[in-house]
Amino acid sequence: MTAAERHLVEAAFEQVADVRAVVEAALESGVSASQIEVRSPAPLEEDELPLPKPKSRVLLFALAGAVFGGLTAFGLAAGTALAYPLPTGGMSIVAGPPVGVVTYEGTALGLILMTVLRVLWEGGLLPGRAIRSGRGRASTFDHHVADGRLLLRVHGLTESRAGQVRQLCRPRAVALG
Amino acid sequence: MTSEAQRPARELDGELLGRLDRRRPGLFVGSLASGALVLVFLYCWGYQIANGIGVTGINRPVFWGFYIINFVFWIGISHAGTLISAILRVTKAEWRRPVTRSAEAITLFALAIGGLFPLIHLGRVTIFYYMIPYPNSRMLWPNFRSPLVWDIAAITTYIIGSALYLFLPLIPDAAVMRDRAAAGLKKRFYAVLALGWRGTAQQWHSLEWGIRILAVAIIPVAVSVHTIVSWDFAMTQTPGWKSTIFGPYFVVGAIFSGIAVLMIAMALLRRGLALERFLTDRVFNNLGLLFVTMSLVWGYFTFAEHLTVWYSGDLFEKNVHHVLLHGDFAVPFWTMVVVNLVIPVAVLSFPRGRRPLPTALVGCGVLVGMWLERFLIVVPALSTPRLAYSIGDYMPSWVELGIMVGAVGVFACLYFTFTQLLPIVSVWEMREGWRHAGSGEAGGAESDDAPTAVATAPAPGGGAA
Amino acid sequence: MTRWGMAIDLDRCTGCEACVVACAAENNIQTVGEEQAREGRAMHWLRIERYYEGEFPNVRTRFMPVLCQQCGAAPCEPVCPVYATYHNPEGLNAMVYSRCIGTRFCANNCPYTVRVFNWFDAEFPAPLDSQLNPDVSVRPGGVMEKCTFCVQRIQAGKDEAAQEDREVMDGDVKTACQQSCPTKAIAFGDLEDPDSEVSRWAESPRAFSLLGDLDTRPGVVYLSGTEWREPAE
Repeated sequence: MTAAERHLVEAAFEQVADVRAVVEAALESGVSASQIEVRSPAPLEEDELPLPKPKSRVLLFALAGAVFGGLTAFGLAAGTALAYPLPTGGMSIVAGPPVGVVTYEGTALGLILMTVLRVLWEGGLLPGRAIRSGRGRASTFDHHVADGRLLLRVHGLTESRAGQVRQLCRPRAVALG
Repeated sequence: MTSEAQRPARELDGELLGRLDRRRPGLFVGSLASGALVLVFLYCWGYQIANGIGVTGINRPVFWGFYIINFVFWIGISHAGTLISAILRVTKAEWRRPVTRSAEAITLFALAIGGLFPLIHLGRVTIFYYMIPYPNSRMLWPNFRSPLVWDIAAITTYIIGSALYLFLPLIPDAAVMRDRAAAGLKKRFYAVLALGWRGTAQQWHSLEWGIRILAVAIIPVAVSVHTIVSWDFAMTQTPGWKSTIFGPYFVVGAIFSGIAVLMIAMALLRRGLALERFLTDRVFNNLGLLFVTMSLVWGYFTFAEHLTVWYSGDLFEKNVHHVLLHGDFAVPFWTMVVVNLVIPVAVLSFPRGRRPLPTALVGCGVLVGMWLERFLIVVPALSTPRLAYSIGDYMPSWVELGIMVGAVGVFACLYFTFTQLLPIVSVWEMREGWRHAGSGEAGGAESDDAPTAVATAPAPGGGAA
Repeated sequence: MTRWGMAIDLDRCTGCEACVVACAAENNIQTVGEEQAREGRAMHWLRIERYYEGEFPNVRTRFMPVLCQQCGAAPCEPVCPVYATYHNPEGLNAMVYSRCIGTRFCANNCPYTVRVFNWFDAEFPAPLDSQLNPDVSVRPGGVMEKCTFCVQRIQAGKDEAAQEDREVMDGDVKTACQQSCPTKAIAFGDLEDPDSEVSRWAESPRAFSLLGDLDTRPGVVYLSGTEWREPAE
């Protein structure tokens, strides 16, 4: 990416329909979908914008977390009892139901923790993964999103292309920069 | 999507944000007042640690008293939020939107307090960590056969789970607060909470997945928590405790008392923060229906529990049954039946009874009733042991009463502070609801619920105070 | 293998409570005072339960010494979260005071209500401190305790036998309550040894277990010539 291609256009809109119109026009004029970022105050429906759908592996990680948590809890409850077999007066050293209860809770805990970690990871919200540049970075226009508007950001444009996109936004945007 | 449809949503949006921006001196005073009770709590607990557990009124045979009663009571209240909000999320009930946040906060704070009570109850609290599995030179591990260790597993999972379940949907709202705050300490506080949330498509997508999974996962955890609390009693041989229906009975009672607190909190929030347009009559009507249903289910369980004991004719069980229904504990028992069953059914069966004030008042009664229920489970069974020579009595000491009242203060203090700092009504979820309603996507099955969001938008200039 | 057990002949018991005093002296049991005792906090490991039968003037008093039954399937053991009470290989329900955190769950699950709790730190004001038994630890506040079958005497008996290079014989170990009983109503010894006194008593047709329906398999056997009704009313 050369210096000439580092122009960024930001525009805030009231309506999703406006954003869609601008995005459609921009895509037609040759801007690639990967350059377009839309920030919204609430989740958008999948087909509301002609952009590629984001992917998520939260479910996969959640299930892996569940398996890991369950095995850990099982090992803790059954393994420690076997490793330190205290006299129980003729009762079984590893009893089924208690191990089951502890395993159940461990499974749930592993699932919950991994779900949240993965959500934060995918969103770039973990401390080590904070986004410092480009997409996902703080913008002076963010307060528009906080106030319930949509924010369209088009990255990596040449100067002339940026001018074109601005022209597309101008009639509908609440703020433009 | 017409601009007419969008218009009320835009107005509501501005109004909701305005509500959140306004300073509320009442809340601050509330925090301070309840903060005083926190001191009472700390003083009483410190006094007990310094002097020994004997400063309570517990004795032989009543080895468990107010602390365990309050433990079960607060854990029960914690079922307000996470469980109810999760069920409403999973079933995609539109009217959940203004409710979930305040409910989830109740869960977290009630659970934090409920989890403290077993520690307060210990004879030697300074070595409570013997119950936690950790490597140690004596090679001793907790006894996983003890229901108390199951409790630790369940409550740890539940408290972490519900804290995250509260936090995850809070991230976008923390970002809203961050971006609306002027630069300074406040902005930095919200920036830390928001973790760099920008509202990109990827972030929303992952967040929705996360909430969906947590909502499904937290329901069985919540059920297991109160079931295991019930097993602290039901696993014993003690007459009056060993009962197979204690698990579901406790879960139902927990949800029942949880809704009671939720009704009170919502009525207060609605009035105190002037949220009439968001916590609408419809929300109260729906929660009121849920409330009366739980009352009936609770009544059914109570009847089943006592009928089987009475019919069995088991000598020891009947002794406990007798003191409950006709003996020393008859007054609290029948009070419980009245406030938990008779009054809720009499009031909530009618649409007029399902408005904020009556539901909150019924909720207060149910709280008393559910506290009594736990009292009537713990004390009569213990004070009526098998060998009649040991029959005993129990009267709480000022330390136990102080800690009980102080715990309410701790809860109120946390809740007031939370309400001051963060949006008690989920902003982004309300916006999502307005969008659904505005774009007509909420049609079909949800058309009945949609008016919550938009149709109740008042005429210009109406009612905002 | 040894299974320590006790047999108590109720027909011989006069309810004199010498055993209660001997037990307190032997085991350094805290004296809590009038006020605490009234609150239900007396700490006796062994108590004489009194039950009255019949209508005045034909009243008959029955005495029953009740102590930890040292159950074979003890309800107190599985509920302890920290293994402070566990089953020792010789059939004793052992208490590990230093491990106890004071949940009091064990006491709630004891059908005989024989467990007692140290509500405060023990105090032995002079001259009581000079009569403390050096073989028994003084328990701190916040822990559970109960009859140990005078485990320190069992240990001493085993040590003595080992020094004389022989097995422990019946009669080597006498519990404090047994020793002090003027009517010799208590027998103590190894239930696994068919020739021991306690085994012979346990074979008696008068023998029964307290709350036997619960199948806690007590190590204490009671003997009574008249039918024993569970005293519950």
